[in-house]
Amino acid sequence: MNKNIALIGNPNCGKTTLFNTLTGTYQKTGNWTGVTTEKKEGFYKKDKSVIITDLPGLYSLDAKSEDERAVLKFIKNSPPSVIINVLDGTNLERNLYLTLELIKLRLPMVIAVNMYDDLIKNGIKLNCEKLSKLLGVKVLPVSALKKLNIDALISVALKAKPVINNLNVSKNYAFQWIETNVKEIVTYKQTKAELFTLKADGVLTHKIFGLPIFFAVIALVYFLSMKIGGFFGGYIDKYFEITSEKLNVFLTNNNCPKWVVGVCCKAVIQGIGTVASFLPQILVLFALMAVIEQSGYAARIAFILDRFFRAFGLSGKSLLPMIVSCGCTVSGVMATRVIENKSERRATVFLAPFMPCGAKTAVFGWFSYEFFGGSALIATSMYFLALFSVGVFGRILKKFKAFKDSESAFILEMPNLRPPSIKDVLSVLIEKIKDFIFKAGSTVLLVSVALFFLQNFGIKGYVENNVEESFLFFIGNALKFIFEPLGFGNWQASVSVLSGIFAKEAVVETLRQVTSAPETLFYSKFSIYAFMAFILLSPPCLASLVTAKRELNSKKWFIFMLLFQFTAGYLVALLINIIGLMVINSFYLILFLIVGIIILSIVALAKTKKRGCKGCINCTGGNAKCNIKEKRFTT
Amino acid sequence: MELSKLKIGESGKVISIKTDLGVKNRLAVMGLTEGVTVTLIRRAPFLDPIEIKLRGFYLALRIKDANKIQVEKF
Repeated sequence: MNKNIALIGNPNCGKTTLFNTLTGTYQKTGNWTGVTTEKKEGFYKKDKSVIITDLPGLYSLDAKSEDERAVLKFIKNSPPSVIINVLDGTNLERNLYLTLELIKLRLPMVIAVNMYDDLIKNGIKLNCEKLSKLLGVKVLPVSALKKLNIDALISVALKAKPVINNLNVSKNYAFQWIETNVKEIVTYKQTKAELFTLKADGVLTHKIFGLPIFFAVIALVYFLSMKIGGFFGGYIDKYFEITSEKLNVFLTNNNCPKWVVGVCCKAVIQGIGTVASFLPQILVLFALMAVIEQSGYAARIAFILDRFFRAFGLSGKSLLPMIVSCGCTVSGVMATRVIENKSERRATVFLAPFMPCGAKTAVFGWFSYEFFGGSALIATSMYFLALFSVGVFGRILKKFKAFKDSESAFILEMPNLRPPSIKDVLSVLIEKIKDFIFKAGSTVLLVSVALFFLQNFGIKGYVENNVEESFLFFIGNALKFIFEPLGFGNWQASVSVLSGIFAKEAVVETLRQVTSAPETLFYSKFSIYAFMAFILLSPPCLASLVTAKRELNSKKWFIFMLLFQFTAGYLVALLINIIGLMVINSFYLILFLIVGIIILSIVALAKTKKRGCKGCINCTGGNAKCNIKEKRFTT
Repeated sequence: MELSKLKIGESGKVISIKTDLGVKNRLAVMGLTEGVTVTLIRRAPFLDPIEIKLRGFYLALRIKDANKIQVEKF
């Protein structure tokens, strides 16, 4: 029979690293709370009859958030044959609280004191026998990272018997019990990593320099991904272009029908080429994001920005999914599971897709090179535009009743900083490449081929050069009025936006397929920026939408989310285009100034009217229209 | 005095925790219970949240909650 071993422990104690070592697979790790948000199963590398289950971290079995509840549900519905309680060896005092709860389950259990290599390095002695005797559970010191004692752990786990002991520590005395006993098991002293962290944090979260450093780090991330990625991407693009031309000549010489040549060269080769040229940029971005998460700087970002986010009614908790979203929106939406408060979680599912994911960043990179002389500032500005929009639209969401009570507390463990593991960063990249090849070979290819047929066929059949008779033209033309106010009301830009629903990379691919002079599609540089802003904020790609629908678990909320994101994108793009119009043409400047003044005075008038009623108590007016509610009289 | 009023580097013993129940429970399972020694490590750039050290690890929490935690300064 299969044995099922479950890994349970505090957040960030190394469960996923242990899981990866045991199964030889790769699941994303990071040096902060809540990286694993759902259970993952895998086979033990050396014995496929042993199933290992990795679970989200939790501090206690009275769980509150979605990811923690998943652990409880798992233990209750399919009790594992053995629990491996993973402890962070550098912090037994806090980790043992969960252990005291776990032994009450009376399931077969083993304790793995992880990060043992750190203890050895710092000369900290650990008395495992004593701990084992106290708890009535076998205890093994291990290091998931350095692969220390890993196989021994499994062989002990497979022999584990249900926990038997007379220990019954009540909840209120648990920490007192731990405090007295832990002293006999281990004596901590300040480690080098801790000292380094204290010093580094003094700079990274400094009162004055903290924020500029954060801005600089983000700018550097985008700068590097654009410059390095753009450099290699250019070659890839060129390679595909040459291949496409060669194939074109070859197929034409062999008398292939024109549309077959078109499908092969334009749709398939160039389509994939466009997307493949994004790969280097996306890879650099992912590598740098992985470094931010693995080093522990992500937790510092949350620490620095919490106050800013709170001003907009969100907590630092909702920041974690936003940071993750900068890699991939799907993971970002999943990461909302760490938020206990239901309406804050919902709000974060709405807002996290604003952040520029890898694909969007690549699209912005292409736009920067194409229209803005390759300025990295443009791509970076998208990141801050996203942050700003999260703030503003988060505030607007709060106006809705369902989101009013959506601010949960900010309680976040600050892990020690540590150098990112090269192996983990490489694993992230390999996973990303696999994902990407899959995506390029499926969604992107499909969109590209579909686009080609829609562009080259119409009601009359094959239309070749008469684009204006094609299906695509009709679709784009039907939609273009929507985008007219944004400064790109033409069929080409419209279908480009439309194709972005499937995958954001397709936006550029479509633009390149439908026009050879993309700059003619936009009214001005501002319209181009408006277009980018619309791509940034409007509903994310299909994969993210599916995830969001699942996480929201409600059709009503999902539709509301789509409307919300579309409106947000539309308004911001509109604003940018209007500003553009005002800058470029003084006629518009005057026009909008007049409209603005009229609106402002109406608002001001309405406000003064309200204010006029403040004297309700002595009101002599006897205004029949006054229907101020009772409550107002008292104020 | 309130935990939030400690100066950077100062330590104190927690006497009472009067935050909302949800926050209190969350802090309790992390070891922020009555009687524990806490040290204020730093304040964030906008002076809020704060980072404290307790039971050998570091924790960030907001002033709003730290205000409701009474400590006895050493």
